[in-house]
Amino acid sequence: MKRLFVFLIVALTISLFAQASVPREETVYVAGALWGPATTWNLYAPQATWGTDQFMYIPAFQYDLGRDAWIPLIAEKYEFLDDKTLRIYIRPEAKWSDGVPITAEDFVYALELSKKLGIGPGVGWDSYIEYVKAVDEKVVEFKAKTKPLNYFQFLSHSLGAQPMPKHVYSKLEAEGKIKDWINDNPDEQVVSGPYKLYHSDPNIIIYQRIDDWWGKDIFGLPGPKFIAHVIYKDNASANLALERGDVDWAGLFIPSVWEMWEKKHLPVGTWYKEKPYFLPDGVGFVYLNNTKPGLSDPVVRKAIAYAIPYKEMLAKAYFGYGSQAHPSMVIDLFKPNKQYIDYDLAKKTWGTSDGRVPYDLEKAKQILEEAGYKLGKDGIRVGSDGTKLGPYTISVPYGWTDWMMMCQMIAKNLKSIGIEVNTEFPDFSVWSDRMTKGTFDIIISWSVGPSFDHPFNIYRFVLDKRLSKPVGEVTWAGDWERYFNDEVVKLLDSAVSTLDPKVRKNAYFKIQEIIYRDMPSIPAFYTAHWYEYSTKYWVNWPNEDNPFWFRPSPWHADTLMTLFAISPKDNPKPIPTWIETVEKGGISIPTAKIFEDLQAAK
Amino acid sequence: MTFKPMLKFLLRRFVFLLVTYIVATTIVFILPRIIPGNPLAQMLSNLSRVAQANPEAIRAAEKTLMEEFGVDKPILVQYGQFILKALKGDLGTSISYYPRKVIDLIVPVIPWTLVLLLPATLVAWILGNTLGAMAAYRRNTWIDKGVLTAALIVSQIPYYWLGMIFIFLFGVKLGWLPVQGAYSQGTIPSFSWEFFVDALKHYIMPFASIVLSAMGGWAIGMRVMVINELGSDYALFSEYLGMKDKRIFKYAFRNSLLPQITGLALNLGTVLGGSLITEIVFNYPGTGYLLFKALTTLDYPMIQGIFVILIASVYLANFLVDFLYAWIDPRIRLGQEE
Amino acid sequence: MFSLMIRPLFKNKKFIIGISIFIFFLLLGILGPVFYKVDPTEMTWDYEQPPSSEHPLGTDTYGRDVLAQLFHGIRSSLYIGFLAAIISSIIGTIVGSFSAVKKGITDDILMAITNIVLTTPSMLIAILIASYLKVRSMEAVAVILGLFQWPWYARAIRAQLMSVTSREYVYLSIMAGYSDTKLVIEDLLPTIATYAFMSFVLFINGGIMGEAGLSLIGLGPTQGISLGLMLQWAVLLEAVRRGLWWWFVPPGIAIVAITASLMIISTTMDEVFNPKLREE
Repeated sequence: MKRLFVFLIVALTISLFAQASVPREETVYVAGALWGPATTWNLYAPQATWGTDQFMYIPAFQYDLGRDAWIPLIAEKYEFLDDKTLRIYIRPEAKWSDGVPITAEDFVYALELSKKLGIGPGVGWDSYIEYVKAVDEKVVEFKAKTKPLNYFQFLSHSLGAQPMPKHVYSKLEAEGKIKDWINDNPDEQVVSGPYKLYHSDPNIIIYQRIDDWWGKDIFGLPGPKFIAHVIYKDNASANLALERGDVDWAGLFIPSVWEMWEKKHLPVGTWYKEKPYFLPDGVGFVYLNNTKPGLSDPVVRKAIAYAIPYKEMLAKAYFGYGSQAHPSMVIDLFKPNKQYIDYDLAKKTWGTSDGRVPYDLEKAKQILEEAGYKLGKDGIRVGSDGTKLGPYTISVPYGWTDWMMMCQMIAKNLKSIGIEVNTEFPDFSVWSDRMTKGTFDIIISWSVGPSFDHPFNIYRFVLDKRLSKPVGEVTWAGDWERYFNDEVVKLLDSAVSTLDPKVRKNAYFKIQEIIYRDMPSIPAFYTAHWYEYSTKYWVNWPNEDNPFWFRPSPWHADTLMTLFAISPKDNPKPIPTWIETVEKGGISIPTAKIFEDLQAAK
Repeated sequence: MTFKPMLKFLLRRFVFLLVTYIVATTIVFILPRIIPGNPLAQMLSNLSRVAQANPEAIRAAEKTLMEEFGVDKPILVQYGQFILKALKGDLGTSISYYPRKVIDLIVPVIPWTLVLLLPATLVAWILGNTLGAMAAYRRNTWIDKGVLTAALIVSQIPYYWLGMIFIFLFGVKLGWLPVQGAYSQGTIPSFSWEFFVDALKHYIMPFASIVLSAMGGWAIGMRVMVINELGSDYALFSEYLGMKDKRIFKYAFRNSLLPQITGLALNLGTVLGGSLITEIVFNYPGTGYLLFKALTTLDYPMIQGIFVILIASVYLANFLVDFLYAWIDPRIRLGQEE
Repeated sequence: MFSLMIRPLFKNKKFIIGISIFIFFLLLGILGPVFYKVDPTEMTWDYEQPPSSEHPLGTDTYGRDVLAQLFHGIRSSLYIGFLAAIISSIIGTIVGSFSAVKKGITDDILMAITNIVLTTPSMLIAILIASYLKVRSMEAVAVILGLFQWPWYARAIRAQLMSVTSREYVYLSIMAGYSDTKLVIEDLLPTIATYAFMSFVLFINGGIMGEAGLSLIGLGPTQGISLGLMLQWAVLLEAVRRGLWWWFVPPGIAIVAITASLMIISTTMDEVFNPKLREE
C-alpha cells in the first residue's frame, strides 16, 4: 500500500513537470551571436542581449543594403516640408504587444531619453537633429541642424528611429530605475517587433513569435515560431553543433567551410557557393601609427603597402574568405559603390588594372632606397636623418587565429625589405588599450562596413581627426592611427552637407588623391560577413541565388528580415515580394528617391 | 585529550586564516586594477564593431560608462566602496554583463559546477583509493603491477586532452554520446524522467574525463602509504604476534586514509572554482568559464565576486582539515603548541 | 656513495623503462630538430595533409609540418618544465626550511604567504605578467608556473624538517653556534635530498602540464612552438571536429609519455630509497 502511494506521488510529479521543450521543426537554432549569459532586454544599456535590437524593437524605416532602399516598417510614409524638415507618418495598425497604439510620443520620448541618459537607441542624434516633436498622434517631425549639416546622419537618425513604449518607460523613469531594468519577464515585455522572450537561462535564450503581431497583414509573419540561441563557449563547439544539424542559422568563423558540403555532404550553405563564400562585412585595415618615427613617413607607409602579400595572405590565413581591399577604402564589391571610386586615378597611381595595390617587394625596396633609407649591417634600414625602421611590433589579440597568421606573414615580408617587425599577440583588453590610446606600432583591426552613407562612414572613421585624441588618451570613435589633416575634414563636411551628387563625388575623389599621397593606413582586405545556414529543417535562406536580404548574419542589428524569407522544410511558403522597391512592386523606397524628394522640397 | 588547548589551537588557526583571507581578497582586488587594460574595452569594441554605431554614440557611451562604473576613481575609494558593499552582501554589478548583479550571474551556474565536480571528485577519490589499497595488499602481484602502471599513466593524461579524445571517438567518429552542453538544446530543465536521462547522457563524458584523470594520483598515493604502514613497526609487531594479514591491512588502510581525507577536503574546497577547460571542451555550464571570461575582460566586480566566494570555500576547507586533524591526531595540535 | 645510490636503481626494471622512455623523448627534443631539418613555422600549400612519406605526421591548417612542430614542441616543453622546476624547488626549499628553522613569527608569515599563493589564482597573475611583458616568452611562462607550484612542497619540507630539528644532532649544531643558513645547508638539507629530487621531477611534470593548460586558454608562450601551443592551435582550428587526428594526438601522447615516465622514475626512486617500500 505504502509503495503504491509513493509510486502515485512520483507519477504525479513527473506528469506535473513533463519535459518542457520547444518543437524542433518550429524552431530556428542560432549560433555565433551570443557568447555569454544574457544581460538585459532593455536598450538603454551599453549592451542589450542579442535579440533585443534584432527582433523586439523595430525602427520606422529599415535600411536595405542590397537594394539601397528603405522599407517602411512602423512608418507608412515620409514627407519633406523643406530640405531640413522631415515628417514621418506612423501606420495606423502599429501597436505595442500589449495593444497600446504606437504613437509619435513614443518616438519623441525614446530619443529624448537616449539624450538624457547618454545611452540608448539613436544616442548621439542631437548632434545632427535640431529637434524632434510630435505633430499629432501619428506624425513625428524632425528638423536637421545646420551646424553641422549632415544629411546622412539626419536621415539615418530620423528614418531609422526606434520608438520605445513611453507608457512602460515613463513609470521606470519616475522611479529612476531605467538603467538597472532587466526586462526579463516575458509577460511584461512590451515590444513593437514580431518576437519576444520565451525563456532564458545560462545555457540558452529562446524567443517566441507573437502570432497576432500588428504587422502580420502587411508583412506576413516571420517563419520560425521560436528562435533559440544555445550559449556556446567557443567556436569549436558551435561549429560542431552546426555540423551535427543542431544549428540552423549561424554567424561563425569556420575553417575550410566548404568541407561541410563538399566532403561531408551536409545540407549547409553560405552566401556564395564558391570563394569567397561570404559577403563583405567591412574593411580590415593594417593601421600604421602615424606618430611613430619612421612610420610617420608616407614613403615608408607606401612601401609597407607594397610589401603585404595580399593574395597569399588571404588564401592561407583567411581561407579565401575575403579579397584584397581597394586602396580608395571604398567597398567596391557592391555595385552602387563603384561610382565613388576614381578608377583612372587609382590605375595611374598603382599601375594595376583595377587600381589595387600590387604585391611588389622590389618596388617597395626601390622607393625606400630612393627616399634615402639605406640598409644597415643588421639588415634594418636607416633613414638619412638617422631614423631606424624598427624594431616595430605588429599585433592582434591572442586567439584571433586568422589575423595572427596574417601578422606573421606581414612581419616576415617587411623584414625582407629591411623593416624590422616582430609579431606580438597580447590579450584583447591590452591590445585594444594600445589601439585606442594610439600607443601601438602596427595593428590589424576593423573599420566600418557598407552602409547607407558609405564611403563617407569609412573616410570619417579612418581619417577624421575630430574623432581622434592625443596619444595616450582613449578614443573608440575612430582615427586610431592618429592621422591629422584639415583638408580631409573640410572635404568630409562638404560631402555630407550637399544634396548635389556631383559635389559629393568630387569630394570623395579628392580624398582619394590625398589617401594615395599620404597612405595614412592600409585598407588590406574585406572582412567576411559570417553567415551559414542549414537546410535540414528550414529552407529559402537568403543567398546568392535568393538575394532576399544582404545582412543575413544572426548577430547583425538589421537581420530580422532574414526570418521573413525562410520557411519550414516540409511546408515551404513563397518568398515575400513586398521587400522589393516600389518600381518592382514592393513597398521599399530607394535612397535615390529620398534624396530627390529632399532636393525637390526646397 | 583536553578540550581547551584544542579550542585555543582552532581559534589561532581561525584568526590566521581570516587574516590571510583578507590579504588574499585584497590582492584579488588590486591585481586586476594594476593591469594596463580597460574593463570597458569589450563593450565599447562591440559598439564600435557590431552595432556600427556612429562616432557620437560611441563617444556618449564611453563617457556614460566611465561614470557609471567609477573606474576613473582612485583605487582606494573603489576599495572602500567594495568593502562597504560586500559587508552588506552586495557583490556589485558586473561590467561586461551590465546591468546584471554579480551574484545573479554566479548563482545559476553553481549547481552545475557542483553537480559535475562533487561526484566526480568523490568517485575519483573512492575508486583511486580502493585501487591503490588493493594494489598494496596484493603487493607485487599482477594486480599491483597492472594497477600501478595504469595509474601512473592515467594520472598523467591531461584531462582536457582526454576530453578531446573522447569527443573525437564517441562523439565525432561513433556518434554514441552527445558532445556538448548539460542537456539537449531546446529542452528546458525540469524535474522529469526524460530530462534526467537526457542530462545523464550529457554527463557521462565530462564526468568520465575528470574521474579518469584524477583517480590515478589518488591510487599512487594510497598504495605508497599503505605499503609504508604495512612496513611500520606496529604492523610488523602485530604480524609477529600472529595477527591475520587482513586485520593488519585494515589498520594500515585506516591510518593511510587520514592524509587522503585531507587531500579530499582541500580538493573539495576548490570545487567551486569550476573546471574551466572541461567546461570549454564540453561546453558545460559552470563557474570556471564565467571566471575566465571575467579575468580576460577585466570585469573587476565579477572577478572580486567570484574570488570572494571561491577563496572563502578554500579556506573553509582548510579550516575543516585543521579541525579534523586536531580531533583525530593530538600530536599535531601539541606540535603547534610548543 | 654515489654509485651505491645509483646501482640499486638500475637493478629496478621499472626504473629502466621509465628512464629509457624519458631519455628517448629528451633525445627527440634535442636531436630531432637537428636531424629533421624542416622549419616548423614554414607555411606550405599542402595543408591538412594526413601522414605521408613527405610529412611523416602530416601537416596542419597552415601547411606546417606536424613532426617538425612535435620535435620543437618537445624541446620547449621540456625546457619550460625544467626551468619551472628549478624555480619552484628553490623557492619551496627556502620557504620550507626557513619556516621550519626560524619558527615563530617567521614561520607564521612564510606559511601565510604559502597559503595566499596556494589560493591566489595563477591565471590572474599570468594575465598580469603577460600584460607587462611585451611578449610572453618561454621563460616568462616557466617563471609564472614556477612561482605557483611550490606551496605544497614548502609545506612538506617544513613538516619533515620540523621533525628533524627535534633530533639530537641538530641540537648539537645549534649549541655549536651554527648560523641558520649553515644549519640548513649542512644538517638539514641532506635529510630531504631524495624527497627534494623526487619533487623536482614532479615539478617538471607540473611545468609541462601547466604550460599545456595555460596555452589551451590562450595564456601560453606567444612565440615559438610548445606541445601546449600545438594543442591550442589544434583546438582553435577545430582539429577534433574535423577529424585531423594526426594534429592533436601526437602532442598529447608526447605529454603523457614524458610526464608518465618521470612519474615512474619518481615512484621507483621512492621504492628504492625508502626502506619500507623496498621490494623484498
